[in-house]
Amino acid sequence: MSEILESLQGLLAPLVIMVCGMLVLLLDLRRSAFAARKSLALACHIGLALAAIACLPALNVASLAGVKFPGSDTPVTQLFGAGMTMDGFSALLDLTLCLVAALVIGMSGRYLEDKRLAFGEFYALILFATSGAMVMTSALDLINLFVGLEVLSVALYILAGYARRELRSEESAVKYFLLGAFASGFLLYGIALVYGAVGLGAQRAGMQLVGGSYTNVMLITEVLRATMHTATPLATSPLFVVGITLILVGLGFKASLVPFHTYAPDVYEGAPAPVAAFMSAVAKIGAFAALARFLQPLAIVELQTPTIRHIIWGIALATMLLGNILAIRQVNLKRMLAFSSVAHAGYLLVGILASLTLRNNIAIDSVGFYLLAYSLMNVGAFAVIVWLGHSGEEEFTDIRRFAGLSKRNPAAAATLTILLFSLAGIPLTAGFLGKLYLFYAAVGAQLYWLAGLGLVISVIGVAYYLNLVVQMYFREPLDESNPEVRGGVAKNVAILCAILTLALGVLPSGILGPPSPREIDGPAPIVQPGLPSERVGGGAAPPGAPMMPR
Amino acid sequence: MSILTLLILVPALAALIVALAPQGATRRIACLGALLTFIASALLLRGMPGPDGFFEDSIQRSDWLPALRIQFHVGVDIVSTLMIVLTALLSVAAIVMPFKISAGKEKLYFGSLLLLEATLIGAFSSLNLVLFYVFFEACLIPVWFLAGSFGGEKATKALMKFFLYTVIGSLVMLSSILWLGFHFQSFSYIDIQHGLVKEPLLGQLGLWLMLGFAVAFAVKTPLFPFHSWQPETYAACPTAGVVLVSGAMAKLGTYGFWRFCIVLFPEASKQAAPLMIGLAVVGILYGAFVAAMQRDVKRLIAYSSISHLGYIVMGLFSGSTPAISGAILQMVNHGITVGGLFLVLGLIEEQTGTLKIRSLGGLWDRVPLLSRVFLILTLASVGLPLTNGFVGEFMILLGTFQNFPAAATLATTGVIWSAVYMLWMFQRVVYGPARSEQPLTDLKGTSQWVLGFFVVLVFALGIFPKTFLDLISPIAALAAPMENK
Repeated sequence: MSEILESLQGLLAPLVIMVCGMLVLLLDLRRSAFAARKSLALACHIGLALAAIACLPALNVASLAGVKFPGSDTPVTQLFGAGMTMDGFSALLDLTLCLVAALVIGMSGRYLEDKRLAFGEFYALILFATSGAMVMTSALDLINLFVGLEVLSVALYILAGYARRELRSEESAVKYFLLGAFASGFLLYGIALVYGAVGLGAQRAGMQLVGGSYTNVMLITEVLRATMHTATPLATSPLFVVGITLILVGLGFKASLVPFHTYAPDVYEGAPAPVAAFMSAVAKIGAFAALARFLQPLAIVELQTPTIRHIIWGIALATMLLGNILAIRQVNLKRMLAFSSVAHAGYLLVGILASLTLRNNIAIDSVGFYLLAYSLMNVGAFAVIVWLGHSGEEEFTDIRRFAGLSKRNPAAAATLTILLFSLAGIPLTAGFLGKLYLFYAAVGAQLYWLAGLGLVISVIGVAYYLNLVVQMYFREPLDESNPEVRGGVAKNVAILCAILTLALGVLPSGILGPPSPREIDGPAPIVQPGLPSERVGGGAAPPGAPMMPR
Repeated sequence: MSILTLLILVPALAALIVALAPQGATRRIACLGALLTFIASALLLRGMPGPDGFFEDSIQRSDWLPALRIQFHVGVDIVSTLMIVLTALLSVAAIVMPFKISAGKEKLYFGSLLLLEATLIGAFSSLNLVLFYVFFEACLIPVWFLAGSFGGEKATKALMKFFLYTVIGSLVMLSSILWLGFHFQSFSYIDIQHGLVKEPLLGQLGLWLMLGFAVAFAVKTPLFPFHSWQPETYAACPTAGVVLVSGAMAKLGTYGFWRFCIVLFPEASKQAAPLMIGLAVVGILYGAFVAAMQRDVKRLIAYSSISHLGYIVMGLFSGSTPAISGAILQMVNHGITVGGLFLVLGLIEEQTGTLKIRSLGGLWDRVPLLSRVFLILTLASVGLPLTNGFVGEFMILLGTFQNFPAAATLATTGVIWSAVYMLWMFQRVVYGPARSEQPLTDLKGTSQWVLGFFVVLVFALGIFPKTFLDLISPIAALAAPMENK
């Protein structure tokens, strides 16, 4: 019983948010019309703040070098029988998730009022989705990952169609749901194949003691290592390769990697702007956290997994290239941001690929930092869309309408410019440091071609982001009206995102911290508060945990 | 905190204050910021070089991005000091000069100029490759906003070209930087320099890394096939902006060639010298030919700039000490001459409303003082003895002749060409009948003092070049790898 309590304590953040979501649903029953909107939002923000505080102890790990190599000397915090974990990486991403959710809830208030949409369910769904994504960042077991993914996805399907009186929103939800359900099927099938392959591998390697789940990432690592030098290594077994590829498909859909990206522009365009902002950040954080963690075992069998590496290499290149090229022709800002988010997924995948080697110890950190930077700038850009536009009309997304915005609404123009510069990766913004970090990691993993091509491709990105800045600053306005109506919180959210983007770009050391402990010789054991230290590191395993063969 | 940090912070803070201050006070704040920076930059000249040539008391090394071992590492040697002083001087001139600014754009105008100054000084003083890249790239943004908001709708296409050219160039450089940073596990210029001395990167690898840097600087300078952004951007920029862009930002390119290509990769520079010198000579002649055919004085000076910067690049890659000293001196000279010329052109344009050669004329009697300053700067640009232009170009040609006689001979003909187009332009613009009856006012007040200072510098550098050469030559000798010893 006490172990369960301790595990719950380790994973307090998603729990708090889940409870808060239910509370919001209950409170929503008692509201009187729109009067209670602010108090509901306040309840959400308190919940998110509590969750963020719950994440802090884990972040206290000197830097975000949190993902520990399963099976390496550094102990892995195991919660719920090694099914979940809480480390620097998941703590940072959980904090990012809390921040994103808080920003989205902040910016959506007036928007929902304008569109006459109920907000109680909206807030609750946002919170549920956030907790689902948190489960994904902490999962050590593919099954738990799947549960987290579904909690996230189902909430997102509903949210995409939240403006239910609008046809586009409905279309967006249906499209997202059908394709998403399909992708979940792929993921589940991949998990099943991996389960079989790992089980067979364990049997062949004569690992008699193995119990527990064959879908656990630590067990997969052990089996990969044990069979590495045998005649039938797990890494080359077709079952395993196909399984991993199918998992890649399932998560690639959430991360909007090419060729699974086709839904993104339609869904983003149709979904309400705050939902699009939320979706673009949260789904990516969940998917990339999972990719980072579950592909990590491949690092120890670097030479035996050329196929998977080639596939990821190709997907990364195609994603960067197609995302950027398709974004150029867009005249709708939401569609443009959708394609640009595809391109950013490509950059992130470069970081994931770079992490699949034992030589490299900063790639995962770079992915974490980039996810934070990307979330801030993308949510900020969507917040500008929410900020502008008059009530009752379509959203302010036509790029031509941004002409001369600097004269009509200088604050919005300046904010959006900072965010776009950051998305384009111009120095002194978080986007630049994030890209630098990612590509530095890629060079470290000797992915010279991919890093070089990625840098060149990112120039295409500069072109379309700048085009919008040109519209805002150097073109004459179509009309003189100041397109500011919602202002309020959405305005503050956008400005806050821009300021944070700049702050992260100019003074990043607060987040990035000192060199990661793995660079220093010798392991730096990290003991979780609330967990007896002998259990950390797999001493006396909790019941149900896999027995690690020695 | 090193004085260099202050030099970066003061203009940046001034820009921030300009952005927040009321409209009326902007000019005064900007002038104050620029003057303070200039005075502080002059203090740098007292620095004592340490063993690396960097001034001991100017160096500051503090953590910026520890996870990637990127530090805020600044420090200057005599070359960067000269560049910083030049930047500060041109900024003061550009900001103090009482150009008229269309109402409501003062903040953007002064803010951009000050930011440009801050980023340029930052780039010249960075001793960390990533920090250098950050400033190198960041100085695009103020130029872009200056040109975009003052150049009108026509300029936007040119600006897109400008931005993409420079960004592509810089990203190629960034890949070189990333490779070096990973190889030496440090982004510090000094560490990498020491590492490369111990373990030179020979052969193809060194050449490619060097060329990666060279592309970025070739765009910024601009060197011949990468120049097409330049005339259009100059045409779009307000005059004060052009003074800084042509006088100081273009030097970032030549300075980069010197600091990152020649000093870091002596072998590769030697290998690539024929290519670079070839491009430089083509640029010298091409710039001169095209300049001769221009109908607009601003564009003419822009093309002549391509030609003059070609000399500097040629001198830098020639591998002989006198040519390198000459090239470094010429960087300062060209900054002063071209900056002064653009200031004069700005004053003329403001009064006549045009810079078309055909619609100008008869200035000699109507604005005697301005015309005479214009004449002196024109002659300095042509390279008349006793003016600053002569010393630098002469040393470059002399030094280059030792190693690359054919290139030097061809380049020498460029001197004749420059005399042709500059004097022809001067004749058509200043002499002859007046084309309009507008009353013109001559130099007075501030503008008189500023341009007077430029004239003094032209002669001081032309008559007493030895003072500067003595400062430069020890460091130039360091960077002359192909000297046949």
